[in-house]
Amino acid sequence: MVSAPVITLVPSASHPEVKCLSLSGRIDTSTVNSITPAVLQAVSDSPSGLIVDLHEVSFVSSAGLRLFLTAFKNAQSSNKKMALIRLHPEVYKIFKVAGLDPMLGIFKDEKQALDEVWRKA
Amino acid sequence: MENANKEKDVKAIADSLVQQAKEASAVFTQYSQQEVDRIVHAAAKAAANHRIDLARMAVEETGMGVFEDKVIKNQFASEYVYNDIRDAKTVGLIHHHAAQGIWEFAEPLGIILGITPVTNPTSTAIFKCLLALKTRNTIVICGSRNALKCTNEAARIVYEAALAAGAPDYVIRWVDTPSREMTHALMTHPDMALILATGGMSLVQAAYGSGKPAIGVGPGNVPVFIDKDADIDLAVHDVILSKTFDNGMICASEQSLVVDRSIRDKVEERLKAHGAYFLSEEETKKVQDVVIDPEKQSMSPKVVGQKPQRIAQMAGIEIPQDARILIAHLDGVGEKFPLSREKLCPVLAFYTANDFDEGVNLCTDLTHFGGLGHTASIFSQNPEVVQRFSDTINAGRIVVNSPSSHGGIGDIYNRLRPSLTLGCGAGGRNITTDNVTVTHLLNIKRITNRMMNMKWFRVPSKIYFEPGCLDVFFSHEIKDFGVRQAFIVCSGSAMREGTVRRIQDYLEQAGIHSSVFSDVKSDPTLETIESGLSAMRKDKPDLIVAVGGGSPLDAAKAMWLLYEQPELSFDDLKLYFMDIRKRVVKVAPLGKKAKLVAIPTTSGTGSEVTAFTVVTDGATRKKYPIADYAITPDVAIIDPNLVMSVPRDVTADTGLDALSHALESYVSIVASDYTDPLALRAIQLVFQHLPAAYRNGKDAAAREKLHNASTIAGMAFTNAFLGINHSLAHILGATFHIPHGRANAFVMNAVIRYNAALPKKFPAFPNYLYPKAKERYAEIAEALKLPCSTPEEGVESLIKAISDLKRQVGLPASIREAGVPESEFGKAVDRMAEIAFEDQCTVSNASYPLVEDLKKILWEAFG
Repeated sequence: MVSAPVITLVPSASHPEVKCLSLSGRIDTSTVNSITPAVLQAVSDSPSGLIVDLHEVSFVSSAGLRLFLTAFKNAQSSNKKMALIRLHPEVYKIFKVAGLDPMLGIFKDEKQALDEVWRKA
Repeated sequence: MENANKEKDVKAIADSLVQQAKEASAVFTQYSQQEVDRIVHAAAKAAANHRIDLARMAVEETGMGVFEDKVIKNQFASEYVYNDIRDAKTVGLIHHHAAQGIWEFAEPLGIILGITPVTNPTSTAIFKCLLALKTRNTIVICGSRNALKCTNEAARIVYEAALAAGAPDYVIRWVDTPSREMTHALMTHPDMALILATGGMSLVQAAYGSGKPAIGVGPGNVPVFIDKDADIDLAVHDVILSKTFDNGMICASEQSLVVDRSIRDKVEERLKAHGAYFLSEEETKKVQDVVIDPEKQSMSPKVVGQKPQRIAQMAGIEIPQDARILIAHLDGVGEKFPLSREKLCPVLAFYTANDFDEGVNLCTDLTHFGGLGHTASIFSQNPEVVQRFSDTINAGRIVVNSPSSHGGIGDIYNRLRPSLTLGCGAGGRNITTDNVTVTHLLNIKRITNRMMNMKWFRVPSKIYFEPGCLDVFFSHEIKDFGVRQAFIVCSGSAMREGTVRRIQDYLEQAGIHSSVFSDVKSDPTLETIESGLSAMRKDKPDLIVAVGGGSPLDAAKAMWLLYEQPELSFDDLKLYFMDIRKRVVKVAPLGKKAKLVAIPTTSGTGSEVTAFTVVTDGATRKKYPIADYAITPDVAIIDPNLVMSVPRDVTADTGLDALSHALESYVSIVASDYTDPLALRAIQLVFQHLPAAYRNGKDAAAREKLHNASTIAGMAFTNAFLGINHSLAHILGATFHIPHGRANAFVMNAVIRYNAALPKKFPAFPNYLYPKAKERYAEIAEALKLPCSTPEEGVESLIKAISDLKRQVGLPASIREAGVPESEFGKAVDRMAEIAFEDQCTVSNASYPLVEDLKKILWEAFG
């Protein structure tokens, strides 16, 4: 039985213009459709960008990678930023091996993401 | 003009070196293991004896590293490497895998180009020469320009010792005039067999790009994760030991420490106590500018193997005289953090990780930043942490709780093969992640004997026979089965005959409940199986009793299989296979939920003892034989009392079915000594008793013999399988609604003629040595006491006897005689031939048929 990803969305405490989205479980073909609207909506709802917390995510399929790329492109086209944080080693490795890490912006935590992506900009 | 001359000189020198080595490698192929071992022993001894002067020469010439450590490296290359390869078999027959019938012989490669680095010049030269000698290869050593004298001296020492011990002249050569052009000329020389390249990435890439087989190494960027559970004293000791060894010149040496925040202060404190100097931010900047060439974005050669004080001097900073290592705190990995690169000198990067995940991710970043596939290191006392780290990090060697330099080169701190050439796998663009050793410098020739496939003989564990055995079984034996709920699968006729009622009465007396599924018609369909299965799932029987002709028995076997293993699908089960033991879909043994008792009420199919069932796809009418020994019934009850009222035409059809089973299993390519007597006996019984049983259905003796013949033929073909007689009968019967046994009878003579001729295509089965169907048919003729002075006569006698038998039991002589219009047959024949070709029975036929052949047989059978 595949558990559907659970989604929570809150504004960043220290930077309310940025929203923080937390996902959990497996992000694959059987679950990606159920979270895609929420992720893309979160990008468009956030005034200056989105941080996605993957700490509770155990697996990302190619459908999951495509979702993050779409979200990133949407953010980029409306002049917003995006970052992924708190990836487990197994999930982090997927982004490294796929060569997506420089594009997507992967950070250890919210603070580092805010410092590197939003405050520096 | 000058360039042209130089090019000519280079080519002449390369040609001469290779020519000498070529002669030596030819001569060397004749040496025995004993001679080779004597040579390697002498060579290793000489190298070990010269470890001190070679170390001194290397330090003086290169200006890199630590004399005392280079002594250890030379000793490692001679003593450890020699000890590791000493007893290895590298000549002639090196391994015999008796069970696989495979002999492995070692074949030398020929000439190896051994490229050695400036960092470990003498030890690498010794190492490569010893490996070459042990494998009867010759080697041309091509040293670094900056370590030429000491490299060639090491090669010379090994060579002269080898020569004195009887090695061929020129078995080791070396380059006195190194240049990029020379390296290229040697790498691309037509006679060069393999490049064994140790050096910088550009050199290794050149080796791989030369078009020659190459074993190379890649750069490392070794991360060390110090987990919160680590033994800190041990970790710090090992890191210092390893990173200071020869001033950090081993490519497996530590490059970055990644330390869990909870123990960071303690680790720092211990490092300082051991003489580590932590650089300030400003000092870090100065050091990074001299260690990493800012323009080339790579390690600067001038710092390689230098002392910390020398590096500090170059960077213009002051450090204590007793500082052993320089350490820089870094926040990230990548071009913005130059010291996150490989640095073969006593400079380390230091990272703090908030937790394990963050630490492993940093190590992943470091390996991806120029060290993929090489080596990684972890200090932790928690095996789960080590395992998770190892699962994620891509490194050919993951060294645990040990110094990574010594751990990576193997044998000192672990049982990796001792080596000075460490493969870095695909991540480092290498062919292997192994520590390179003699096995990589040999071609293994595998001599493989013809191996016979294991065969088998499997039938139900209990077969009851003699008239009345059904009553005895259900009134007595059944009590030992310990069952409570029976499910009876039967046809309408078995109900009418009263057999089912009789069985239910016995069961009731034994305290066993029973239910009946009697909806099985001829050629059971998938829908029938599914409806029986749902009844079965409701009743949850622990005994299944199948009563009837072939159809209820086949249906019960399919239901049993799916009842026991609901995860299997019909699509899986019908999947064609070449070898029943290697099929893609595996079926676990049945019997966890229920046992199957099979009771035939006709004498033909043999289904009560076989591993087969035929299920028809209701939509296409195509028949699918499902085969697996798992569906062999547990018990078969062969009671001739049950066949006394079989109608005449059914007696004839089923009798011919039994005959076709026995005939086909006797000439099958899988036939064996175990199945042959059964097949022959079944054939005799059918010929002797079918006409009588047909003429007089009340002839109890004939009925009994025929009933036995059917089961005995079943025992033969469940182990020897069938052939194209059945492949053709399956589709012929389905297309023109001809009873199965009769369809078999129609094609029988044509199939015998086809199989008895020399096959146009041979079936591939190792146990079937050469075509012998003709002789096998003649043996059958002989067993039937038919005229058989030659095999040809035997075949014709058998065909005539079959024709006679068919006539005696009222069967039409041909398909045409059976009333099938020629126009209808002509329309169907192409499709029938194609489907027969795909039939599972075709695979064990004595001749591998072409579709065209099957068409001809069908026409011949049409008449």
